[in-house]
Amino acid sequence: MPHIEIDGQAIEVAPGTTIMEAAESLGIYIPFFCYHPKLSVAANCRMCLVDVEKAPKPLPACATPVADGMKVATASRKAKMAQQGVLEFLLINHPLDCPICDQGGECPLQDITMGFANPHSHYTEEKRVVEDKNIGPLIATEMTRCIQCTRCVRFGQEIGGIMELGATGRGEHMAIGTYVAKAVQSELSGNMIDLCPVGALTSKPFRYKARSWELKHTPGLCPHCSTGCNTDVQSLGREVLRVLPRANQAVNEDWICDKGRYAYTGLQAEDRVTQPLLRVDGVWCEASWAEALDAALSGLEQMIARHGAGRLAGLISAQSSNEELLLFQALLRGLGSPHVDHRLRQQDFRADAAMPTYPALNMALEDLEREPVVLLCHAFPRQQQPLTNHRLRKSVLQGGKVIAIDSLRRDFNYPVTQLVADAGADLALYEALCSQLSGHAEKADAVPLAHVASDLLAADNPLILIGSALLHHPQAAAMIAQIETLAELAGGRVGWLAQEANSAGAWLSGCVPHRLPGGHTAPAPGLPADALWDADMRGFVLLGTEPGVDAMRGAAALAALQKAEFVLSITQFAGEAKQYADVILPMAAFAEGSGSFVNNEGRLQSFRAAVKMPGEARPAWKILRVLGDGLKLSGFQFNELSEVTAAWQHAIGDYALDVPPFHAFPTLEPVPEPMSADGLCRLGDWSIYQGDPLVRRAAPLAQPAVAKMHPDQAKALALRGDSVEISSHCGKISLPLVLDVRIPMGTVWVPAGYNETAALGATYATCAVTMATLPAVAASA
Amino acid sequence: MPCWRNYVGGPTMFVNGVTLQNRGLPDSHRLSVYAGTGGYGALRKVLLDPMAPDQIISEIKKSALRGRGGAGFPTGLKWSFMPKGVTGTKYLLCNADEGEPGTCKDRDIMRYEPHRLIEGMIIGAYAMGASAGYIFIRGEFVEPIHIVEGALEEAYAKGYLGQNILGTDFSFDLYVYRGAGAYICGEETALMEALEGKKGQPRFKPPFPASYGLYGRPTTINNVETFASVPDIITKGGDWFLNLGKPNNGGTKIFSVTGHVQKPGNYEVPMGLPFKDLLAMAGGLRPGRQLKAVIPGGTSTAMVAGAAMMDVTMDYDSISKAGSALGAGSVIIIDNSVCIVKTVERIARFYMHESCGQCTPCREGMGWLWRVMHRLENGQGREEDLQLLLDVGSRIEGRTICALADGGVAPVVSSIRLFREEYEYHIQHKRCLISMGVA
Repeated sequence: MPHIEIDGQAIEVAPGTTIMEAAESLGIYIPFFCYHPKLSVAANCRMCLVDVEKAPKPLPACATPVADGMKVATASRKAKMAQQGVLEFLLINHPLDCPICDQGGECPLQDITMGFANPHSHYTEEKRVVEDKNIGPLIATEMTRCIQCTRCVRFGQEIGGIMELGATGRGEHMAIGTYVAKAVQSELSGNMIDLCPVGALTSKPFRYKARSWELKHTPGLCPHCSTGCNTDVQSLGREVLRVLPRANQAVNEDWICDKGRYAYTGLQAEDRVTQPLLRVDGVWCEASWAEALDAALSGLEQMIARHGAGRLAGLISAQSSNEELLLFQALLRGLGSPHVDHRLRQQDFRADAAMPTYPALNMALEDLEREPVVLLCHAFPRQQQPLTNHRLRKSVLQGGKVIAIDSLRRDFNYPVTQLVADAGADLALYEALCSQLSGHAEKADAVPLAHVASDLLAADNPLILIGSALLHHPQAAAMIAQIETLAELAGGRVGWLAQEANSAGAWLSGCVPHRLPGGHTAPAPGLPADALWDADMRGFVLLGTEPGVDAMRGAAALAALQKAEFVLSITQFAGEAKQYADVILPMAAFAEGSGSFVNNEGRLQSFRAAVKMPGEARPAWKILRVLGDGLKLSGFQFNELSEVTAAWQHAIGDYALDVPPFHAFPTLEPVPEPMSADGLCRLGDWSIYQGDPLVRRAAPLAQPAVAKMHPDQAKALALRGDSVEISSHCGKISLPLVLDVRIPMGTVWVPAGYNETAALGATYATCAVTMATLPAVAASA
Repeated sequence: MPCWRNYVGGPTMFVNGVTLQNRGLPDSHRLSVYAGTGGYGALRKVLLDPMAPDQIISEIKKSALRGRGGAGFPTGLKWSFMPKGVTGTKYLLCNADEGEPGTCKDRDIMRYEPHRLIEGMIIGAYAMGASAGYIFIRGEFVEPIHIVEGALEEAYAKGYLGQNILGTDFSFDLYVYRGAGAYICGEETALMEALEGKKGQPRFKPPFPASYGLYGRPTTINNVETFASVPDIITKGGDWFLNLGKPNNGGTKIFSVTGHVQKPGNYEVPMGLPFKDLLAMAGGLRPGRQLKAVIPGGTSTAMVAGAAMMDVTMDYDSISKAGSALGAGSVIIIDNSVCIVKTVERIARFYMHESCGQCTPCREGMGWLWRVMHRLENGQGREEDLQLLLDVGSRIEGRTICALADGGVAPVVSSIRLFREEYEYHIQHKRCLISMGVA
């Protein structure tokens, strides 16, 4: 172990440690711009030059490995001269527009200039101007401010996994840009803003909104996926202005994805409700809380009196906190309704009894980085859980192997062996893999399958991850059963990739019809979400969800809700609720409430409100408490959130982080094959930025709905033109068509989560695609 | 924009010629001609009359052959750095990106003696256990590229390249890679980046190419002239080569003499030849002119005053003692008709243009130097400018990843030191001492 000395302080460090790392562990600060502990070392900014005894020239601390007996001076005359010189060079072409630069106040170049620069510049020539680039709606550029540190370039290559930004041009003409002025596409792109040490890359939605030092920082949790990224919610007054990552090496490291970073912009949506609303004779009127609660209570009581509590159902978003979930199921079950669910996107519930206590990864996120062989079962974490995906990416970069089984070829940002099912025949693919594993299949049968089977068999305890998209399949139960067999045959272990920020909490809190809080079996199980639409329900309580787009069969859900006698919607946004609700109660949205989530690992994390709620909105737990109280239910006597949290902890107990991935499977009644012989199988996920009410309203993230199809399929159907009509037995929609070789033959991709596509009904259903008929006006003209 | 004109038809002097010894023969680039003068004999000797790799390296060390690309690093020592006993590919690269303004020697070796280069590389590959090699040729060298490619075909056809060379179990593949014309790609690690298909930018060292080179594999890289010196060292011995030159400076060296001489061209002469003899070979100065200054090793080396140069011998150590460097051997002769400020302004522009842009001091500093030089040349100089140039230079030198920046600073700083009065005249009179005929 080399012994070295930095500024007179002795330290012993591991061989290969750099001077920068050694200095950091001694608490000695060396200024830098291009260095970042999570990126490769570029040593190009030259800011960290230090004086090493016996070295003729100053050496960059970030790139110089220590050697035994090395004596380093970080503030000697030689080091200081070098640092001052570099800073002067950096500043000669940097515009001194700090007063109008969003980076001002949180700018390393500003700070280091204050700390290390010679106050007088010798430069009197003209400054360089660099043409700006439009790289999309998320990142604002001011490329004249760029100091060419290439952090953003290295981020794209090394973390984002797609080479988006690059340096072109030589010398002082070297400029950072996208190759063909494309928009930056990575789901992690916003992190480049944080990495940029100057104001060259700043947040477009945040532009000119505030000065960084005016912002209040509140530790938050991202509500948009099951990774549970820690965030720093930055606000001014009552407005959330920015969401940045809060470093937590065990969860999100130093990053967050663009969904988590920009979804807050949806808070300003036009249909945000800030006042209780009542439908009076078909007209929406603002009401006081007293009036609205009266209406809600009497509506529920009358509906139950008339039809019985068995005709009442409750659906809650899995973005809700543990506290809300606990109270929500208590409200429904207290009223006598067993129909409580959060799984709006699922259509096959036959395996409910076999489901684990909660969908758990069954391991630490960090350990994913070290998995040698991972099988993804209908999981596309790059879109669903971007920072969980980053861990898998790291494992692949270190030689790990990821295999994916899915209904279509996915656009992973690392090499993945992909097995794609024939149209609708996803179950058959799992069965085929099982027979390969058990050695019953003909070896020459399917070569890629045989390779995957031998990879799995060769692996020691491979990790099998079940993705949330698997649950969308109409034969999901049978597929899950096959995966259990597969895991046994391959000698692997199983983890679940949960969808929502609090899917785990929803299961633990008993927001499923067949389990009570703590995972105890419900004595009289209710109906699962998808069955409610056909079950002649007369009353609904909705919390934070919009079944019209959140449910697997959006159109059926809307019809059932509209038909119901009484619908209470506790929501942040009134847009959809106004189509069917009778009472709308405004609830706190992201960053406005406090509570706790359980992430995919089972990690219990809490968050608190960053800003005040707008208008009359209230935290959902308070609304539920008042309702419970008003309905004279027991167990709703809380004054503080902490009391609800304590009740949750009491009800759930100490849940395990490592739960059996399956309970015993019931006999699965056969279901009809999803595909009829003619027609196409409709594939489709909830697109990355359409998954929940808030992100759907985030304008900078919006991506229009498009249908996708294999070019050969389009040719076979003789489709011409940009637009197609897609019809299923539920309805007909029309969308622009994009040709994409990743979509298998016999299928068409239509994303869910859009109003435009809800009419089409469930995914994996049969549909027909034809050329769009011309609008009547055009036809007559 | 041409930098320094290459004198295509210039004569080559044969004084114990080594690397250009067949220059005068017709079709000297053909394998048959080369073989007729003993070509590939050295390869036969090392493979068939077997010489152990270590023996080859010690012969090269004995010869005191030093890198002909500019840095003058002892070749035998460099070859000995290549790790032994590693599994996987080791690479041998030839730097034929000859871009130093003033030099055109590698181009002539490739045009007239491509097989000497190829044979030298095969011997090097055998000595270091490399199984693949690339000759990275400057993109503008269209004719030499065709010639070297033709020579490779001939060598493959004869079994000097490819699998089981000359029936032994030694195999070596050699390819030509055409550069895209950036000066920086002559820097060895930038060359490797470019060869890997990336933007040509030097890498930070350590790690050095011997342990982490092309594609992260152990790699050795030498200049064209260095490799071309190898076959004769093998056949005639390291001592023979050493004795051609002087101790620590073995062999002959091609000097590309350009500028104000009557017979500019490539002259291959023994190391240690007095400069004044080289000047005489190149036809001397034009009548009535005086030697003002010499840039002895290409524009990235410091200027030496004419008078001082007359006492220097042409070898690494002597030129280094005179405060400059032998570099790639591009000797630029400047007579008294030349304005130093204008010359240096032009050189500064070259380095601004060719800086890769990676390191802050070079990216920003090269442009700064040129802008001040440009003002000076255009009569807008200020009293403080000379000190400013020296200060900016001192803030660039030694603070970058590669040596390009040092090379860009050297002509500015050395010329101010030598010709301060000319600079001052520009500043005070807003015009040139030379072109106004004042001197």
